[in-house]
Amino acid sequence: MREPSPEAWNRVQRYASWMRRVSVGDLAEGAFHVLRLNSPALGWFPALQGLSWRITESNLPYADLFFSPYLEKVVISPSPSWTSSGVPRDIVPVIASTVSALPASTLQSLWVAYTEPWADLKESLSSVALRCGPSLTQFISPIPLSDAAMNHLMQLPHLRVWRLEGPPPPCDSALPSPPTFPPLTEFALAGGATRGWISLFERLEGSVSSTQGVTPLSRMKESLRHLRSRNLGGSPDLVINVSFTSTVQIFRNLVSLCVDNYCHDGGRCTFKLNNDNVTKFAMALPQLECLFLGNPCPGNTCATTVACLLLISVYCDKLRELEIHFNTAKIVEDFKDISEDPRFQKLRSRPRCPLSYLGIHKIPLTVDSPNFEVVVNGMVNIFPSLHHCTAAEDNLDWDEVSERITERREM
Amino acid sequence: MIHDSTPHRIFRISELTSLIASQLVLISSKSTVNLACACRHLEDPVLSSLWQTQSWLNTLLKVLPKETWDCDDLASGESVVCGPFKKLNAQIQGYPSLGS
Repeated sequence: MREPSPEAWNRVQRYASWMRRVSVGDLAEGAFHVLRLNSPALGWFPALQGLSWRITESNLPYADLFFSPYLEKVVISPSPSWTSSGVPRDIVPVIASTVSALPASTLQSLWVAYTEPWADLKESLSSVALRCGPSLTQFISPIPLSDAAMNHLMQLPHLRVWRLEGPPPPCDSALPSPPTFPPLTEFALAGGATRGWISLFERLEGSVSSTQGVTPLSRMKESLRHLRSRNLGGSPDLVINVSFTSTVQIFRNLVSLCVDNYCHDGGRCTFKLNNDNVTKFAMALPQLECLFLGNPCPGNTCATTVACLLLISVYCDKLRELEIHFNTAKIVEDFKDISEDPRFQKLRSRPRCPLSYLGIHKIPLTVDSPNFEVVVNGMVNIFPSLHHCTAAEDNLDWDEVSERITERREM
Repeated sequence: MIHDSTPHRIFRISELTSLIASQLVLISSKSTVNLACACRHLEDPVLSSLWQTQSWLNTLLKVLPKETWDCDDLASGESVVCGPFKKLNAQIQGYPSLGS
């Protein structure tokens, strides 16, 4: 076995110079160091545009080998070996300083794929965000950013997809005008930050700038297609009430609204709409294809009934996926109302949406065996394309309903 | 083996050959390699397209002559032990590590 000649390294350099996108994981111990020792003057990857960097102990000290000034798309993820044990504490500062050095002036997309918020990287990731320029179209990170970094991202004209963690920056009265949002198509919030952002949207929508009729949300309210709030741990910070649904209607072109709000067993239900509220909401957003209004809970205290499903099916005629709380205490009577009550007469003949997924989760169902068919018929009548209702594992009665719906579709 | 023949002049237009290669690589890597081997004029633009995206770095290290590296674990597609690297490892005591 012999060592590579200079000509052999030149050949590697030639091939490396062609590379535009690469995934960096582990190499044999010492390999990165040898690459550094033999690095050409302009680096191995002078034209690299896409970097998928899975941070490991072995590649971390050499990450700068891949930091081309022309990077456009960067994905950062942690080593799988840290998934269960967590990142060793002595490595966190090294990751922070290395991430800080990431070139950002030509970045179009930055995706930090950590599954949990990682406050230790807040400053370094904020410094990257602050160096991002107008080329940035996508910023996805579960790591909180500084107020300055968030204000900077808000001003980037081509930002379209923004998934973030943490509340909005406080409104600074010293600023000459409130922040103007770019025409985002997707905005996703996590970690109990939604209420703060919804309040901000309410305030901004109410504030009119010097140009008549133009608000800081003017572009975003036309462009936004996907709005998501994710809060899987802790107490839900968001109450699904009239105020929330009114604010969401600012974004009149939404096709998906997903609120992953989990009401804890025994806790207070956060769903506060009634059938009339749902009707107004559905009529205001008829183009919705996906509507998740919180994870249906076992409380059975909500004011909505299966009638709200009919209203949604009629008014949101493109809807394919739905999760909503509805009270089942009198579900058999409610289905009878739908088929007999004159109030629903006009709706009964209207076309239904092509919904195939209905999330039931922990909504209880206690009906006698003969009444299962009433429930099955009622659900199929409202959602003719329904494949199945997805219930929690121990929600056996809804499983029975779901099986009967599936059987009926297969007949 | 690369044939050294005079290609049609159209293949001297680098933008065109790059465009052809960039489309071909989407269809078949093998055909792209064959094209690179077909004509010396095509080698660089075609290989350039082929090399634009690499899933893992060890593909690049395998450009080194085979006698300079060992492959311990090809199945994982990741971990390549290179002979000289192994040797260097023994020599290098103080290369940057997270522990130091």
